[in-house]
Amino acid sequence: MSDAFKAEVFQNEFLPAGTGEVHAIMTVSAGEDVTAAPRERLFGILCDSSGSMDGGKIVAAKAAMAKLVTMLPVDTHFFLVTGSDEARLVCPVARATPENKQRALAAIHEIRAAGGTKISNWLHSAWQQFRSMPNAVRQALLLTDGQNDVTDESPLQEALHHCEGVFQCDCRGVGTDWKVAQLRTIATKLLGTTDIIPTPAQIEADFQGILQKALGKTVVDVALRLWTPLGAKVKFCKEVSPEIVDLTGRSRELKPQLREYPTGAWGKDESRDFHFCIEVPSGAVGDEVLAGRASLVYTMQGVETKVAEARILAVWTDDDGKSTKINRMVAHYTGQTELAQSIQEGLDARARGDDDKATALLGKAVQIAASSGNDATAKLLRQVVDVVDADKGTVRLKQSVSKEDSMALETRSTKTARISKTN
Amino acid sequence: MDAYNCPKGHNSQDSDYCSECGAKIQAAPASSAAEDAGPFSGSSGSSGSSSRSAVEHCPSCGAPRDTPGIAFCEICGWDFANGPATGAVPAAPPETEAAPASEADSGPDSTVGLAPPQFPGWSVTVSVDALLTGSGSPQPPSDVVPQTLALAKPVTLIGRRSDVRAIYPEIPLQFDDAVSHRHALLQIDANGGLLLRDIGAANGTRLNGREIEPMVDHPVHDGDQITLGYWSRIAVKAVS
Repeated sequence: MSDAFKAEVFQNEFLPAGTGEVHAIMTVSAGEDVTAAPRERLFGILCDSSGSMDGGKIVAAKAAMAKLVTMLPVDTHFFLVTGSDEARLVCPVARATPENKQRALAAIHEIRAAGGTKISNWLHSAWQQFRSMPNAVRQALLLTDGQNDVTDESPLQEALHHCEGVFQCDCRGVGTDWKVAQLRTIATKLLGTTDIIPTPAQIEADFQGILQKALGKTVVDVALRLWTPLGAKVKFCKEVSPEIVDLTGRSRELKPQLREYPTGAWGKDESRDFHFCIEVPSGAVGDEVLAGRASLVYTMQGVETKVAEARILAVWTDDDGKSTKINRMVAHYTGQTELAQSIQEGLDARARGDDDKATALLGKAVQIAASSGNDATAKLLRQVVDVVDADKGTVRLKQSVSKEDSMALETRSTKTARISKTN
Repeated sequence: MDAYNCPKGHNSQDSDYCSECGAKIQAAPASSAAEDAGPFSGSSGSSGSSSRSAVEHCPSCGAPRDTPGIAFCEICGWDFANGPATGAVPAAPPETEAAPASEADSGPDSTVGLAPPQFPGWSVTVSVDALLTGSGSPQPPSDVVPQTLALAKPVTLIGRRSDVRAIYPEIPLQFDDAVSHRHALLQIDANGGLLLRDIGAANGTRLNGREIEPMVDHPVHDGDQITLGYWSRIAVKAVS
């Protein structure tokens, strides 16, 4: 077990005298043998059954759910909730035996779309189900096509607070009438992903992908712990690969100098990168201090196990040649963060009609995407702008852009590319 | 244990960088062999061989001898006056004298000497598991942080510290009143394997949920769970 996770730090530890801002990228990979014991798995589906889903969407969603239930391995558990103004527990937690699957399929057949959208009630229903299996891999999938009811804003925040740490949830928006920011809030808080399913026909393939990913998870409730020296301040802590997720505000202080960030469940061969920015009290030339000690800890049945550790250093020097060098990994992910930000602000500006600003920001995004090898994002950008010169970042806004393309770019803008680990 | 001296004067729990301020620790840890060989005079200040600090350190476990003149190490029970004679494990309780005592006499102690060999092979994580709370048990404390300890010695005592009876277990479970002062022993055998023995504890000991027979050695493996008292859980881990 001790070799199951590997952590490596990439940084330029040299700082000029008088400064104390340390940047470091930590890459963590879960090895082959993270399987501690055969895990129980509980997979929950939360499907929108509000009136707007009526027609093709609910038919496709029902078919996708039925397909998913059929595919569940017999040793997993599952439950189904449909949601409108209220949540309806269509199928409570059950083992995926052929009999239970038959019962679930019959229940799916009966689902009808009507009513509004109050996601807080759906989450609450899921919370009750997930509480019954606290040691299992707990993954939910939320599908909706519309915006959450305006009166549900604060109940939703409360429900999210409640559900945090109880289960993880991937969110999918079908069609183009939903709000990216809204679903991203839910997914981020519940350590899941957000994505768009432009047409109902694509629901099934997407569901299968999520199920496969959930089945691959072997270690749950993994936390990232960061120790910092006296007087230091964590300026930010972000997951930067495979997606940008700002964890800065998510920390829990265990004791002074030691804070913990949730990272959820990990599967074998999974790899993630984190970017730390720590401000330490500045030292004298020649001093060497530990600016941070980052470790991964997972808890199973109340027992904590530390699985990987990495050290972030600060060494003060008067050699400008050393201190002015920016580590390649740090530079790369700083660029990827800027890329995501340029896209989000650029799309905002375009929506407001500020074409000059949108052109500048999206042009910059095209330039970063090209130079950093983020082909997936570059391709999405080409749906929104005509690229004149990618290297210089010269673009023209497209006159007509489909809403799907613009939303796809917005939801996927946080996905980052990796670079090879040579330093 | 607070065994490493930071250049800025903190007691560091880590050997590489200070666990308080992060400063790099240049010197060897205080429990190095050099200090082990030093004389063990009765009063602490007089030895003063260390230039870094006047605090004497336990030759067995490296813990600082905070209270001058104290007879036994507060952490491991080392007898400062008589050196290795009393050994790493305090004498067994009267009612269970036979077995552990013979272990202590014949066994590792004579060979252990001043520098006990390190057994980095095993570590345990001690925690309070609220799920173990039975119907008659009091509420478990919520402020106990799980702690991982390396089994550094051939014999490790699990129990509850008692100053009156001079019992200082290596694995102290102060928070659980249903744990006996001398509850159980973890011993590393000649092949590096780990054995668990309940030494006549009032409330028994469970290995992976099953009550074990007292005064009999039970092999323990990587990942095994020992539960005892109201809600104490000890997870065993093999460290390679």
